[in-house]
Amino acid sequence: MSFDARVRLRRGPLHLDVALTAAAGETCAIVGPNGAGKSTLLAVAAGLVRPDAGRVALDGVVLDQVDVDDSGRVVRPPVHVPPRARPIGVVFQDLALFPHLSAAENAAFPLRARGTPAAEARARALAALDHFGVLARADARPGALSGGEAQRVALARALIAQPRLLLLDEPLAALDRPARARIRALLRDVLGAFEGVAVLITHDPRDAEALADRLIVLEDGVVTQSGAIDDVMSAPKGAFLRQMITADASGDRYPDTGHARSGHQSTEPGDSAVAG
Amino acid sequence: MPPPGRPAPALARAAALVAVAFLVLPLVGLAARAPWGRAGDVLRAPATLDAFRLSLVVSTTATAFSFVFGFPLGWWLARGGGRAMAVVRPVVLLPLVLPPVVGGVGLLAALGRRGIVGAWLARLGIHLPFTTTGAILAATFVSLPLVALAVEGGFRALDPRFEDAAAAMGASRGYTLRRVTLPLLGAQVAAGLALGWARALGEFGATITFAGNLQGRTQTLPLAVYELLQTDPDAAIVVSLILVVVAAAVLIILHRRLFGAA
Repeated sequence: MSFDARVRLRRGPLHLDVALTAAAGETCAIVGPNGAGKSTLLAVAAGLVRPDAGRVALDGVVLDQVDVDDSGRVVRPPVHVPPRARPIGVVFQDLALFPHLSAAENAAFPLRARGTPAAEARARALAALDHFGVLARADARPGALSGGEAQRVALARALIAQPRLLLLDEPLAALDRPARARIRALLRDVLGAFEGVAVLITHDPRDAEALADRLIVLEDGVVTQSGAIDDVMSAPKGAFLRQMITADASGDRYPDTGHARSGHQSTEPGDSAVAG
Repeated sequence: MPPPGRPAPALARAAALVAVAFLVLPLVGLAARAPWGRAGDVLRAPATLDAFRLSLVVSTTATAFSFVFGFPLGWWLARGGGRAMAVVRPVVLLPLVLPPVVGGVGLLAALGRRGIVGAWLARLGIHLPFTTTGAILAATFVSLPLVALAVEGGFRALDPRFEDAAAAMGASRGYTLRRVTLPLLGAQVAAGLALGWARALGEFGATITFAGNLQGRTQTLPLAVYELLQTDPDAAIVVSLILVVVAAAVLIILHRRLFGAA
């Protein structure tokens, strides 16, 4: 049970060349500057972008395989499992909740898309919204939700079809500080209980520390450092990670440092319902 | 949206008033000269009823064709990319600026009895000129580009992430189209269909050229107005007013869709 990706991809100025492995139950955080290829890597994992070369496999099942010779020519017919056939859940950057559907319809979408009858899908969606503490907003459109509520609906939607691979693209970036702390604690519980592989993109070292088991630093399309989260954070090699940690410790960007490091508990009553 | 800026100067406002008066004047003329006492008789006349019924059939069928083919066309224009668009786009835009009568002559040259395709159709026993089908084709010729352009605009404004998200959540292409793309394009498509329908309803030049002016078969309301104007001008005014009312109704629907959302 694991996720295993070796990906080479050229996209405009980006030369992505990454190997990533994560075991089931593990959360792997990817940090790196803008344009480093983080989101592109996630899109490859989701099947939305096809690699030029490499292999992506989940639980031993090949999702993408493109074999090339030294000159980059594809040597055998590539394997590509389309996104809809992958056991994945995705929380997109800016969430991409469907604006014309209610929170419940959004959460039910992955079930309805796979043919689950409407009544059953709705019941499960309501249960998921309840689990994430937003049942009261079931009939609201995304436009009427607060940032934190929208994030919870997006999480419910990503998890409802019981994916084996959970992809989270900057799940905390769009939130204000109090909501950020609450959702971080919620995510910690979700990821702690999640049995599949989770890959998380973030630009905040505190998010990575609070949520991830392993950390990968991606710069200019290549991995500059990777390993267990504590090892990487305590011995940052690259300029990017050092800068990020310094900016964080000095407190000028995120003055509420300490909350995430204080551990597991959420101080917000609204999140107590979400025990792992 | 940027702030409205300074108010327009007095001279511009005066000129604007002249423009508004000029646009309103014909409607006032219609209302003032309408023989209201005879209106009921004119509306109940068989020729009017025929034209009314035929207009509904022709413009609605033409709009349906415009949707079935204009939707994929707009999709392709927005998402097709490539050099083909340099040719396709002008072809789609041309009917909008072409004099409709030229469109009708073109349809005759193409689909008429001796047209490049029409001769071939005639051998199969299919005759399009001077038939209701011909009137529908003439109306489709002018309404399809409007629908296609509205759909194209909708696709350009549509955030492709929603379709990606649907795919990543297990949705097939068909399901994504039905449950995500079409609903998100809804307002744009509806606006395009309303414009296309109104354009089809008003079609005159291409219709009279290609389909003729046969009561009950190709004589739509605009053609009926034209004919009445030569025999019974008062009745022409009454029938014109029907078209004004219908156009106003379309405008109200459009206004809600396009400008009323805010």
